[in-house]
Amino acid sequence: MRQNYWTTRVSRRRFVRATGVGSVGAAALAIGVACGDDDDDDEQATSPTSSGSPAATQGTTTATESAVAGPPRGGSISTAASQDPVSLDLHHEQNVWHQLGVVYSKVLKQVKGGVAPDLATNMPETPDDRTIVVKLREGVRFHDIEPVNGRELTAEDVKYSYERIATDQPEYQSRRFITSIESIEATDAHTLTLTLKEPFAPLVNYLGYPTMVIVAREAVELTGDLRQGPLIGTGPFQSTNIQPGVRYDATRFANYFEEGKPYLDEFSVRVIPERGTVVAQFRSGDLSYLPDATPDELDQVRSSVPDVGSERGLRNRLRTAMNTQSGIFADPRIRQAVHLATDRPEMIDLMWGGEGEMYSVLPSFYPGVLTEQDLIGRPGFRENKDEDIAEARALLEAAGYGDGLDVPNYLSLQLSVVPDAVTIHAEQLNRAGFNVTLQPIAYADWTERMLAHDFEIAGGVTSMRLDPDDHLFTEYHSAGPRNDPDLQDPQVDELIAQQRRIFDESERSNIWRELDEMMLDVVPYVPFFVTSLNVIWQPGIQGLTADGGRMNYFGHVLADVYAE
Amino acid sequence: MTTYVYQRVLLMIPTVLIASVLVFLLVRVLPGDLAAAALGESASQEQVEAYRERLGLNDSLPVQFFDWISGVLVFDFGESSVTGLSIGATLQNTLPVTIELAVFSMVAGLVIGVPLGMLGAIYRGTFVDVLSQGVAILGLSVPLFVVGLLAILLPVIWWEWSPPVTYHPIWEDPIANLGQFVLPSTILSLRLAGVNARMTRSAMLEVMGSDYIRTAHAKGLSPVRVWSRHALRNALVPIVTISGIQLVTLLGGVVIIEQIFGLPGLGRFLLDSVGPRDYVAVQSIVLVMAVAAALINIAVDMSYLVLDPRLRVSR
Repeated sequence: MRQNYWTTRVSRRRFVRATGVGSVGAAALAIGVACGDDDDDDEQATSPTSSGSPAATQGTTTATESAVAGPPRGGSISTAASQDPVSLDLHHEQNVWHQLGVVYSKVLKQVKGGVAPDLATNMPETPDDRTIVVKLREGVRFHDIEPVNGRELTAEDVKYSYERIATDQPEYQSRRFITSIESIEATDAHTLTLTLKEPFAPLVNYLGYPTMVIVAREAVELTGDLRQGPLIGTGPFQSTNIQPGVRYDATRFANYFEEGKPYLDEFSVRVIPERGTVVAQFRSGDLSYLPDATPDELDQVRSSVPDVGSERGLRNRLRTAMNTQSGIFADPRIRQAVHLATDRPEMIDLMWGGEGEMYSVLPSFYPGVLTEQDLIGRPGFRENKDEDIAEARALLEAAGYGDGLDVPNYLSLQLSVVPDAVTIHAEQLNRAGFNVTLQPIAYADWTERMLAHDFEIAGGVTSMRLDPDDHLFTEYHSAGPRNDPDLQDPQVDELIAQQRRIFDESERSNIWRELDEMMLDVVPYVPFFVTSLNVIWQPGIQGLTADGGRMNYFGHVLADVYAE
Repeated sequence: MTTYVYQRVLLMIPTVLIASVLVFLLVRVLPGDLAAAALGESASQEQVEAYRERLGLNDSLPVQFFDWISGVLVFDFGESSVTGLSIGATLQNTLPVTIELAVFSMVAGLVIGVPLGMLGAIYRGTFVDVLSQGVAILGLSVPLFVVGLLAILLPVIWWEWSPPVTYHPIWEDPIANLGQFVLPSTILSLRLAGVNARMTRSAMLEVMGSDYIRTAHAKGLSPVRVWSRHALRNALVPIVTISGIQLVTLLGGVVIIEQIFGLPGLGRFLLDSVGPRDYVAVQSIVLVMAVAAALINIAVDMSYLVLDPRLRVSR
């Protein structure tokens, strides 16, 4: 099986290499198409400091011809969500919800290649490394709903929204993105000046984070918060019907600031908890598009709808964390042995049909980081796994566990595909001289124990972030809120702090790569692989893109979608 | 008889109270922290602690219990610790869905199960009996989630059709509502139908050997009249008993069926609340279910009095 895997991988890599230039060209074209009917600013102004992702997505259907001819107006589109948002207030949310996102706009928006202006006219200016100036579009209107009544958006609204997010109330989950801001000033009606406490390069990307939406003060003041609405934004669709647990409907906002958009008249999200039901609904044509489809689901769909459109993106990072400060895994030799014993290709084959991607710290869609190609052949990623296993056994012996090491409580988070990954991993560790006993753990318990570092080894999953800093600081810095392994390494802290101060992306990416390399030795986490998921859509729908998963289905993306 | 009814209702009070204490304690025994789960993977320990304080999770258990139960007594179930929405309002929205599903399933269970059992009894030892018993055992033994998922997937594979899963309240669109409930109710009723069929068969067999049945036949009554008016009526007491008990267990099945068929009922509300450890919501839902179970049991007890005059006399 491994032989087959490597054959497949090599041929896929060869394909990517062979079409490397073409892929970049295609990605650029896709950006062009996606922004083709935006004002031209978008394309010119894509962030030079933003993180790239287009290379990670491989389209099988594009919409170029139709887009050039001018997309037709009208029609409706529907998709499904597995549950309701916890709150209708996106400032409280940690997740991304299509039904809320289509209503709002942000200063910047996530596009293939990073971030681009949304409410801003251009990418923010940085007169010095502690000042960011944002010029806003003029004539942007809120939805014509009481109490906002379609008034024009001003810099005061952006200031109000950011100050609201920055509150120290714990439910404001996007707060971490703007803690670097010292003050916000609405210089004039359409100019905003952000003064930073210290240079902070990731902020530009964070302004495009899907929850950093701009709300109207009147809407908030109506009931004191937005937990139960109203949903009033400046996005391409206007909320018309909310039935929690059932559906969320929105109609085209005629005064959307991008003229002519959105092309569709209606958008709806149905709440269907069971994934099998969702796939069946798509196959029967009752849903227009399906985000986050696994390779298996894509195959199932293709068996009944062969000409379905699809695009693949990278999604979640599966990995296991080890406590670096207490217990047996505080010994770096043991952690290294775990790393060596981990057979990623086998996992990818067994769990994901060969469609995942190996990584170190950051997935390959961030520029400059170690790619799968860079990793292959290194310890832990050797094609001949026996060499890795022999080395792992030697390390165990050196650490005094030549007769085998009992791991009685390998925590297995009962979420998504983590139990599958951890079960395979436990078997792989056993082959290298460990004796692993798994302990299933529910999400609520897992979160608590991770925060308290009350574990030795724990398999989990983490989602993609918009800027590498959100991974690095959160998970690897000694002061990071989710530094589960309790890594206390001044050198790592310094590198993370450095990359925050550097605005030049290529310079930043050198540090990301350095951290990538360093973590292969320190091994606070053992990375498994990045799952790839697909967005799939019915024939006749154009303009959808993947770009790392559902994060991109936020308003501005659906504004570009049309039905033939 | 009135005294008997009062006794049963009064007995319900300590039952529900004990259930409420048990569920209050049980959800707190579950490992995991509501605040940590609610704030997600990026929250710091300080934020989690602040959130715990805000939710009152640092109060002693008796204080938390008293806060909750004193609200419940005036039908104020409080707010969800996760969404902040009123639990009473959510119960109001979800309960009708579950009641409708349960009632339809109960009816379907009787409509399918009783005739099946009657056929088995009437044609005892024949192919019809074997077939009816086979169907009953199948209904009892195949897990709900398997049947539910197959009912969703097979029509797509065969006919590229999928059952409707977008809920329409019955008072808004009765046709769409019934269209959506037919399949889940039927599936949920399969177990009930199986139990009913087996119970009906054995009760009917017992009754059909009685002297009065032979007399009825001898009087020249048509077989259908004998079976329906004389045999079935007397066989109904155990069927009603078992149906009542099954209706209570059926409340467990709604969790799965509502999940598969996208019905926004009590079962789904419960499932959505258990994951993030929404204590107050879980307590309230389980309390509502406990009250429902107690009421069903009382209704079953009352129905004996209606069905069997001998019991009325003895009370």
